[in-house]
Amino acid sequence: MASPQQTSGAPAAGPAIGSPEWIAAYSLSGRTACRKAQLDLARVEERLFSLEGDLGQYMVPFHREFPDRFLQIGIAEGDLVGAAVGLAMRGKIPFVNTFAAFLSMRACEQVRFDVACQGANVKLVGYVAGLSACFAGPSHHCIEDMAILRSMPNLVILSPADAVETYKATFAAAAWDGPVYLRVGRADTPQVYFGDYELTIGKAVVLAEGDDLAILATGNQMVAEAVAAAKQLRQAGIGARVLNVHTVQPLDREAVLAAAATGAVVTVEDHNVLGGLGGAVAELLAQEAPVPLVRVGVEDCFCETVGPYEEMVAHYGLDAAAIAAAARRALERKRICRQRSRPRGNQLNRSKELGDRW
Amino acid sequence: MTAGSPQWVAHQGLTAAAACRLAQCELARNDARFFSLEANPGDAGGFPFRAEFPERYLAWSGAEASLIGAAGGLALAGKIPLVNLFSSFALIRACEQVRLDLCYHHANAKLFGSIEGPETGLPEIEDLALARSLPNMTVIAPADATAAYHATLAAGAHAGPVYIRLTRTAAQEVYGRGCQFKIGQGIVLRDGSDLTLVAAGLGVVAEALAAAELLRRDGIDARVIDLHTVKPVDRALLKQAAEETGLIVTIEEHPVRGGLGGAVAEVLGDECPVPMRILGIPDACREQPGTQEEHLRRCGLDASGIAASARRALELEWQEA
Repeated sequence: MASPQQTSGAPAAGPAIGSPEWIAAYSLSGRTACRKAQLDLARVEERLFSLEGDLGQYMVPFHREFPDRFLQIGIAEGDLVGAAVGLAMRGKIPFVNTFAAFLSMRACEQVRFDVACQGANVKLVGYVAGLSACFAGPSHHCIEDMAILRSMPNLVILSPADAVETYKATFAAAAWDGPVYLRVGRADTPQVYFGDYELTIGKAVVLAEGDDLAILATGNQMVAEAVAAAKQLRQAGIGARVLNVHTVQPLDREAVLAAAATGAVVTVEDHNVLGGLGGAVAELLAQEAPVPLVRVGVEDCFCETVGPYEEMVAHYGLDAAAIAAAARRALERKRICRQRSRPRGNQLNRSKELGDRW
Repeated sequence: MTAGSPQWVAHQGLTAAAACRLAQCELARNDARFFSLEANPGDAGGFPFRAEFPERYLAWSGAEASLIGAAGGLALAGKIPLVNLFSSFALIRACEQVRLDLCYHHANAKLFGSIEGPETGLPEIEDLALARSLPNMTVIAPADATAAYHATLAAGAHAGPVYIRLTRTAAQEVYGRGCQFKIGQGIVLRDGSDLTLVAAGLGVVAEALAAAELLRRDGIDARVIDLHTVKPVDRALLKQAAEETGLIVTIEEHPVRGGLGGAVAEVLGDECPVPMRILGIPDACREQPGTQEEHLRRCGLDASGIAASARRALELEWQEA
């Protein structure tokens, strides 16, 4: 079987590197696409470094081509992040590659003080996020990273939908001036993008149109599940708009508020229902456009059942069927809310009473 | 004067951290399972746990990961470790250990995280957002020394990991007439029907009460809730407040993402979508030195700042109505 690095030397034949056809031709996973993007970036950007926290390199031999710009730090995540910050302070662009759980929680202090607070130009790549570590169990699962990192200053959080978007997101992260957290899964998740499109940090992508409700999804597998759920709903005559929220921070305010105009919102993430995409959307909607919101995610628990990723996604209620059910709940609540007359509380009387004062 | 009564706390002029320490000694006197584990704060507040229970006092200076690991071990052996350390080191340096050694095992350990406050140069942190994202964790932010005392006793009686947020500066009294503290149940400090101020933590609950008084002078009738338990959040109380007052303003000394405001926004989205405002520390305000008072004023978290935000929000809602 041909491996992706073999294609890089022979651009004459085959699909363009990074294109959806190229990703499909080699069935690349997000993690391999990210590695390949780092290698391709290093060829044109000599400030780029790749730092390694004892993950395998997934078929992409960065270290062979750029031995001087590759650092294997090993299982020492605090040092790994510290070294990256040092490089960033000297004008380099370091990519830190390790498990999402160990990056966001074992090296939490270094990420917070050294990277986020200083706004250091470090690109943190967290692999095997969500439940995608599967059999490795709760020590390697990571359903807290977005909640933890979202509360920190200056960080951009990218959570791409598939390998095509992961390749693009890696380039976008390198071009961004400041710290970025890139959330990558492990499993060979479904491809979402088959045509070309522009990835802009902070701009969500509408994948399907619909006016009955909006499904806001982020990350590997989850966006694909949301698209599948929307198809199921369409068969039942329900129009669901699907947004790929690849940037969880800063959130695309405009797109989320436009989605709220449908009157009901569902968020989907392979992450705790507390504090992640669901939390970010809840905070925005409550302050600017309060509508019923149903958050689909891991229900604030450690996984006691492990298995292949697809089975876990179904078991923990993150698959298309669960999303479609959540959408129906959201629609039901939209109907109830529309029946209720505004204004709520005693606003009307009080506004008349106090109107003169203001 | 009974220990823990407001008169007693006032008489002693206790900070929340010291009141909490007294409650820890109280717990240890009544139950031999309680241990005190210490990082930097030492035998805090001048109430010597060590002198009274030397065999149940363990100190690790600045080795928070080991400290949490030891707490997990003690808890799994049937003891109840009371861990005193700085919040930033508890939840940020030892984040992984808190998650895997305590939360994953549902270990019966209690974390008391002090926040030194901006004047010491240790910046305020994202402790509520972090602690809230960890499954099985209970997160408490008491409003004053009396509440801290009762929260500590309640945590001691609660099965499972608990994080209690403390500051070591003296905060204004809220519970001058006593405190019925129950984990998971917010306290309505003042009834009102125009809007609800929901606050959690030392300093800001008192400011919210003062803001309600300022609003009253404008003819606005504000309900005030001390939502001391940020997780699990009191859904019924919030739902009722949303339905009855139609506007919620949250107040916390914490970044505006993922903390108390996030918890309340999630409940409102689930239960009763009404307009709300999240008042906290904006990113631009972080890490500027000053006293807690100055800091609250700068972030608009003092009484007049809260009242102004509430008034603006209400005005907007009434215009739309």
